[in-house]
Amino acid sequence: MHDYNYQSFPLDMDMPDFDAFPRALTVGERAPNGEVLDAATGQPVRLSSHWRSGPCVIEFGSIT
Amino acid sequence: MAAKYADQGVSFVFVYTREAHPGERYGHLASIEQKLQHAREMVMRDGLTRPMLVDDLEGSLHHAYGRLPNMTYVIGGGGRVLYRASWTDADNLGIVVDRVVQQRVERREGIVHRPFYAEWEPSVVVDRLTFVEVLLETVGPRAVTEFIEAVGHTQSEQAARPLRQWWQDQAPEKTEPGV
Repeated sequence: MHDYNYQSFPLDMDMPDFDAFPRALTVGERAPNGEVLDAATGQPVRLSSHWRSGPCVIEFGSIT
Repeated sequence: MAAKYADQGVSFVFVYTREAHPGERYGHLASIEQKLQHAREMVMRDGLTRPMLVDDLEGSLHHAYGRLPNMTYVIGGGGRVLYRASWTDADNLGIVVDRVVQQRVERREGIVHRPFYAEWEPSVVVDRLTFVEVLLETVGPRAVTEFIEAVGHTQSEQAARPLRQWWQDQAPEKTEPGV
């Protein structure tokens, strides 16, 4: 198992995470919430603030 | 897509995670300041207009949602997961968001709805040659060699062979022994 912020792309291509994904968090469950930083301001915000008034599409990713 | 649904009550956000392919230009993340910087550069590079939100350095929310490099979720206004996908595919997502919007309209008109459960496993086109070309340009040669090695290790040498050939064709001096 590699560190979260790995220095080298893992040889297993994160396949264990892909295999586990269907069971990780299911449709119908409450969406995990937590604090994130708004990149525009550098200020913390709750992720839930973005779905408080309606549906929210969340894409996860990075520049690489 | 965010612009298309902007006035229909659906918001779009991007949550920045760990670097999926650390390399010369964008190394692995070692501080939240670095993570913020990478996120801001991505906003500028890709012209993102939706909010860019940065997960903590340990990836707490990334872990909670499944820890995959490019997932997409649709969360309903009540805070429940309506849709989740292991990859972000605009066509697939568009089908879902169109339906979510339509349901909102119908509910406002008083049409009664009852949720039902469905599962679906769509597929996406795999174009690894284009992927490594972009990876070389945006991140650097180390990210490319590591990706090719991982394809050979996890899938097969047959799957990696066209990538190795492409890599050799780029510039012989970039290739490393064994790649």
